Amino acid sequence: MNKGMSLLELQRLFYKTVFDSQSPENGEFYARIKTTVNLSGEQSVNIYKDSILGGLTDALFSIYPVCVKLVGEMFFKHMVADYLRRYPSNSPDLGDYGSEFSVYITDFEPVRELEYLADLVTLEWSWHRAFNAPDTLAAGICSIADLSTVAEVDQGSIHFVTTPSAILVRSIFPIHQIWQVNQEDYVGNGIVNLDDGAVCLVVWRNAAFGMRIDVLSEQEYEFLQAVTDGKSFSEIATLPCASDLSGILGRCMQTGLIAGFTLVK
Amino acid sequence: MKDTKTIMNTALAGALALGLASVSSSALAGKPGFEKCQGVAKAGMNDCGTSKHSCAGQSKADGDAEEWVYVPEGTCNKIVGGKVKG
Repeated sequence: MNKGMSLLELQRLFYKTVFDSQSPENGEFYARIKTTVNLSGEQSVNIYKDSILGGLTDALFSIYPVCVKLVGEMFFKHMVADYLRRYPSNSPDLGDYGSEFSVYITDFEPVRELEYLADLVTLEWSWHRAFNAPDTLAAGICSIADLSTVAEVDQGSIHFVTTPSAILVRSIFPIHQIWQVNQEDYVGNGIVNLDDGAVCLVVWRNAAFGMRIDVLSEQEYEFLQAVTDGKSFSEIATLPCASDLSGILGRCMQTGLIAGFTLVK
Repeated sequence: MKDTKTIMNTALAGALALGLASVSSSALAGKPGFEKCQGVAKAGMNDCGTSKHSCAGQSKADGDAEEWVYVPEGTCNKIVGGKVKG
């Protein structure tokens, strides 16, 4: 290596070499790599390149199995190769990579006819995040069993907290059915009517790692969205869902979707 | 129209009246009577995801420090290389 090149510059060149095979700077970078008896600079770099791209591609294949099934492996691989170039990995955790795949798909002309695909990809990403979410609530959150101890005057300051894995998803397409008929253990005729209408869903993990996708009513979705947005109980009590607040809250507490609360005065 | 105080009070009372037996905080802690034990899983025999992969059975190396399996509570610390996962 030439002396005088900063680490940052070295990393930038390496990154370009891995993700942009057409970059004119690549030749310059290869020339700086020490050759071995059997490997040129370019071959040495390619070992890393294949490993990085292979790892990221494998990760996306495992996060988006239904998308792979719908567009086919070859097509998916092509999309992923393009995605890798446009959306760099910004986290040391491989589990964080792929969050913008639905954004990429929305803008990807060849799949424009599959209008539901971006939402389906969002559902698969939510599944992945829910699966890897923490088991327990963050410190400082009260158990819902303590709700009975909250003084009436303080009830408006209650901020409910969902279980850490809960992720809300909504779509104008029945994406949960598309997801379901493409599962390996699915038994049925596999027919999904795209005109079935909009769905509100929550993807979450129940006790002992049972993954779930539950269909929510509009009111349940509104309630959980408000909770996720950090709205207080008094604010929630003014929303349309307040007409069935007792029922909604009861169900969410029974299932474990609402797992705790904080008092923010 | 009911005021928000009444709405909140009624909702809380109604929800709490359903009972909380099924939603104790241990509900999300994993398998009851079991603990997650790291560092002892044989390759491909891990129970669940780590930072490196998301699925059960995908671990690539024996005894990976990050991989874990469920073992009966109290067993993990008796295994060489085992560490109870938080």
